[in-house]
Amino acid sequence: MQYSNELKVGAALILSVIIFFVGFRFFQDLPLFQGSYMLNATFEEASGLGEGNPVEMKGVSVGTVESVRLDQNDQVVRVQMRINEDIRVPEGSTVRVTGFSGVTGVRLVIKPGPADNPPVTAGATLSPPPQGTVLERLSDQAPALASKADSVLNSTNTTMRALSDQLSNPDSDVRTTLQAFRRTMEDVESITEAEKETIRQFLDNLEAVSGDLREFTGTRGDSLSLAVDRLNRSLTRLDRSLASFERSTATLDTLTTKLNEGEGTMGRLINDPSLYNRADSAAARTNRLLLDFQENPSRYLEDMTLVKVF
Amino acid sequence: MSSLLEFLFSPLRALGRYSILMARAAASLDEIRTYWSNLFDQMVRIGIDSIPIVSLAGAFSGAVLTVQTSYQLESPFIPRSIIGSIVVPSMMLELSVVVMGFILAGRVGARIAAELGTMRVSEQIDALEVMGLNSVGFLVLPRVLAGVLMFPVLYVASCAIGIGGGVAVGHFGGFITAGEFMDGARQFFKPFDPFFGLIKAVTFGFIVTSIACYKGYYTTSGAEGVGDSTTEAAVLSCVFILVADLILAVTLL
Repeated sequence: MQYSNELKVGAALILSVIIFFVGFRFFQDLPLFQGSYMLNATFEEASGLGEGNPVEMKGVSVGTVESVRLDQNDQVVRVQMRINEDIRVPEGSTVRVTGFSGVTGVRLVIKPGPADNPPVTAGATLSPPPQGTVLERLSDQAPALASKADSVLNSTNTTMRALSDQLSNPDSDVRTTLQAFRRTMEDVESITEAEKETIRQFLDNLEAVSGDLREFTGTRGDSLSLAVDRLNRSLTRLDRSLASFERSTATLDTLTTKLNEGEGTMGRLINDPSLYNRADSAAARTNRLLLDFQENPSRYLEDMTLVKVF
Repeated sequence: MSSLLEFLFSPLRALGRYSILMARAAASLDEIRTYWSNLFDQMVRIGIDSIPIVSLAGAFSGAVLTVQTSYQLESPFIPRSIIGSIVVPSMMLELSVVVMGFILAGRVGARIAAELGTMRVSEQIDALEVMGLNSVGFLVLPRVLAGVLMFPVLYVASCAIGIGGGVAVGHFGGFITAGEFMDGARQFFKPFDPFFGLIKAVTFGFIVTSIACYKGYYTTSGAEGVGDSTTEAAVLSCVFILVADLILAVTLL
C-alpha cells in the first residue's frame, strides 16, 4: 500500500505533538491525562525555588511549580503552582519552601489544614506558616506553665496547712521549742536586771582605761615614736645577724656533712680508723721500747759514748 | 584596489542577495496552495526521511551523555538522580537539537544545494521562469517551509529517543536506575526547556534550508560550481547553527 506524502507528514506531526505533550506532562510530574488547577502563594524569600520544582503534601508529590515571579512593588515573591485535579487542599493549609537547591532540589511543601475544612478553590492563595513571635510561643506553652503554677500553689497550700496544724497543736515540737526559747529570753532578761550595777561599773572601768591609754599615747607620742624607731633598727640588725647566722649554720652544715662523709683531712681523721690503729700500734711499740730501755739501758747506751776518755 | 573592495563587499553582497531571495520566498507565501504537493514532497524528504539518522544520533548522544555524566559525578555526596537532572535538560536544550542540526546540514542542506545548483547550471530554473512560474515560490519556499515545519518534529524524535537511550544505557549499564533517572529529571525540570529546544529547531531548520537554497539557487560555473555550492551550504549552515545557538542562549535563557 502506497502512503501519500500528506498522510506521512500528518502522522509525523501528530505523533510528535503527542510525544511532546506526554513528555512535557511526564517531566512536570503531572498525571498524563488528568486535569489540574492552579494555586498561588506569596513568599518573602524564594530560596532558589524555580519553575518545575515539585509541590508536595505530606511527602507525596501533588503538583509542580508553574511560575516564580518577583513582585517589585510589594517586594514579595509570587509563586503559581499546578496541583493535580484529584488533590483536595483544605482551607487553612499553609505552604513553605524547603530543600537545598544543590543536592536534593528545592520544593514546595503544603501543610494541610484541618481535614474537615472545605477545599480551597482554584486560584486561591496559600500563605506561609506563621513565623511565631515570642508572645505566640509563650502562648503555646501557656497550658503547661499554668499546670505547673497550679501544682506549686497546691504544695504551698499543703505546707501552710501543716504548719498551722503544728502551731495549733499544744504538744507539737514547734510550740515546745518556742516556749523554751521564750523562757530562755526571760532568764537572760532577769540576769541582766540583777547584774545591772556590775555591768555599769565594768563599762566605767573600761572607759577609764581607754582614756588613760589615749592620754599616754598623746603625751608620750614622741618618745614612743623614738622607741619604735630604735626597736625597728634593732630588729633590722637582728634580721641581718640572723641572716649571717643562717649563712654560718649553712656553712657549718656543709662542713659537718663533709666530715660525716669522710671528705677532707678532718673527715678522714674522724672516719678512718686505720690512723688510730697505726697510732695505737706506734704507742704500744714505743711503750715496749721504753720498757726495754729501762730494763736494758746498756743495749742502747753501749754505743752512746759521748766522751770516751779511756 | 577594486579586487580588495570586491573582497570587502562580497559578504554584504551575499547578505543582500540572501535577504532578497528570502523576501521573494516570503512574498510567494500566498501562492503556496499552487505548490502544495511540492511542499509535502519536501516535508517527506527533509523530515520523514531524516527521522532514522536523527533518532540514531539522538540515541547515541543521550547514551554517551549518561555514561559520561555518571563517570564525572562519581561521588558519595552527590545523589545519583543528579545524572538524570543533567542529562535530560542537556538533551532538551542543546545536545539533541545541535547534533540534529549538524547532521541535517549535511544531509538536507547538501542535497538541497546540489539539487538547486544542478537545476541552475542545467538552466531548468531559467526554463521555469520562461514558463512563467515563480521559481522562488516553486523551489525555495517549499523547502524552507518544510525545514521550518519538520525540524521541530525531528527535534521531538531526537530528544525522546535520546532521553530513552540515556535511560536505557543508564539502567542496563548499571549506572543509574530508570526510576532514579526520572526522579532527577523531574526534580529540576523547567517547562521552558522543551520550548527553547523547539525554538532552536525552528531556527536551525530555517538556517539549514535557506542557506542551502541560497547557495543552490545562485550556483554558477557548471558542475564544479555545484560542488562548491554543496560544500559551502553544509559548512555555512554549521557555522550559522553555532552562531544562532549562542545568540538564542544569550537572549532567551
